[in-house]
Amino acid sequence: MVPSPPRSSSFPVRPSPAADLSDEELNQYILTRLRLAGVSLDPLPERDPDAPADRERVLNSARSLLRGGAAALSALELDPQDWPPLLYPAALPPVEER
Amino acid sequence: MSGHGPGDRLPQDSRVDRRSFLARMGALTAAAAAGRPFPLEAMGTGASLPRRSRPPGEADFWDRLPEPGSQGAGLEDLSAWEAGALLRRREITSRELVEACLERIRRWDGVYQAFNALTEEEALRQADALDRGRGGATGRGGPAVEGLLHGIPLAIKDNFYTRGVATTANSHIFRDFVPEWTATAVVRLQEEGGVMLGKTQMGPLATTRALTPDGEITTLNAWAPGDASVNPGGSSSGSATATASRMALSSIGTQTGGSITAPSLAQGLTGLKPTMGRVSLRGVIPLTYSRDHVGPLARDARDAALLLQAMAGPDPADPRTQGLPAVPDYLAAVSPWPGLGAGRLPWATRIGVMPGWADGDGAEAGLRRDFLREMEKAGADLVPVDPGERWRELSSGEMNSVRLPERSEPFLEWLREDVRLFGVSLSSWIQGLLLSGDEFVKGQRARYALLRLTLDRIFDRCDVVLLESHLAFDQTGLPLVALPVGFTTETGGRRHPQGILVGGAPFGEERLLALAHAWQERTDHHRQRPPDPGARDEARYRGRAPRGRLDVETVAELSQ
Repeated sequence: MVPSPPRSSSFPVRPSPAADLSDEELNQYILTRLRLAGVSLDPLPERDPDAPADRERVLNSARSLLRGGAAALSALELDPQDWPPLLYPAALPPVEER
Repeated sequence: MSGHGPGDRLPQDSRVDRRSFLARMGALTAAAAAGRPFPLEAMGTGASLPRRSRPPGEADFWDRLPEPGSQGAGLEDLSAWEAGALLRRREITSRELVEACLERIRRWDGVYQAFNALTEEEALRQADALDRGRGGATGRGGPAVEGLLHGIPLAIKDNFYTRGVATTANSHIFRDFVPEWTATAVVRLQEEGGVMLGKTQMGPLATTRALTPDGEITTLNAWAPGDASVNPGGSSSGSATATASRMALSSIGTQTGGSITAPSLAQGLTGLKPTMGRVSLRGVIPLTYSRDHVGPLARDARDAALLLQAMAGPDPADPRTQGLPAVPDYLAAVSPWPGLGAGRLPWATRIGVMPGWADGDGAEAGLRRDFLREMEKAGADLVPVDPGERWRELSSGEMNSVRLPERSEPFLEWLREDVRLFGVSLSSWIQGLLLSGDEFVKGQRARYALLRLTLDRIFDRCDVVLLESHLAFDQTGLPLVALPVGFTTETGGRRHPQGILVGGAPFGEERLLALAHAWQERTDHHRQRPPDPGARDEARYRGRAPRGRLDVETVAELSQ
């Protein structure tokens, strides 16, 4: 087994509502969301270190996202006047040269 | 030194209007948010590509090249430009080059496992055709060579569509996928005479270091063929190992999160991730629509310039490539110029140095300081830059999570069919289904803020910047080059390449190439080649001997 790299984060830890939720609560949310998308983890074994993926490890990674990246994005404060999303231009504007 | 360089003109990054680049990146973000469908067979047979004009300096480029410095070594040791020069002098043939690479592949790829598939017969047929085009079976004494990459053996990452050749992306999903057409980037390499030797190993679906779909390690780092735990870099590992181990003269890969620059750093290569849209993504299995980039993993800056010159340009079938400034003459940035001494920068260049970049007592910090000293001698001005805490916050791995829905959406059909198709890569595709809409929009705003801070707080003070991480430049579509700066010695005496990452302003490829080239004219790190595997390495790893494996959580952590 190749050792895992150190798991570090440069982002400051912020209080997140996800931190208050138990693993079971988050698992229920994850599995429900997947069902809504038509995706099932049922084909995976519950726990099998020799399998490429199992439900336990996939759910663990999913909870990590909700407690980490998703929570950080949700907590990010950006002034909408200064930082619009620029999400909706209809055409690709050309990049101009001076 | 004059502020002007080749042709008495400024490089493209000095002429691009940054405000319009900002607006364009916003539009690209919109394309990502719209979630364009990902057709496979439905994508048709490939658009016919318009003929492009030759770079204006090409004739000068070949005329001005110095004597190939690798002469005396095997043909497989040559850089692409050296081989091109010798082909033009009719001292070698394409068949000889291809055979030299194939011989090494036959001898060593059982150990390195850099290739997924070989196209040996087609490569030899193409080499012979190119040689015949030069007049006769030997190729010697014929007319002038045509094509920037005429007769050069290349390795192609296995996520580029290649007509009639399996394209698996190391995934169960594409196990039986044989495209009916070829990716634009590969078509353009072939139009310039490049010869595809085969398809290279990669991280499953371009996520991490090269693995089987179920997580078994395949490709070794060419500098550590006796230790599979040494990361060859991800996910274009196979392309990097093929090039570093002299099984191909050069190669291409893709980068969504460090996948060109990381393997280049790990294996002593010069890797270039160009500005978003500079090279077409048509026919590349997508990982993240708005962040995927095609670029070379090469032996030096000249080779990187040749490959980029061949691939760059608008593609009617890829809107990301349209409306951009004309492709400049990259070859001019890596050519000798009258009046410009060897190892001198052709343009006045301010190198931005972030706080702490060259601090420390370790060998790596010493190599970084060597780089700074040499670049000052090359004519660069070193300027401190600090984009601030907000920039670092926006560049963090957590903010990077915004990329995940872009990978899940086009693969939803397969996620619904059977999640086991994703093997060891499954987790980040599941994660991508979990970001809410508001979090996704917030992430797009964060990307815009990051781009603006990068332009306002870095590139208003310098022309290129030395970086610790690729993340900010992957998120914002700005160009990056990775280049070797020396070696450290590991326990047991093994040498390990060390490299640095340099970021450029929008369309700053010329300046990045010129910088890398000036450095490489002053040093010989890029000329170092790894020794062949020893008898113990071969005994340990030849064939199907286990090399270790990564699990689904680790792949999610490393996923790019």
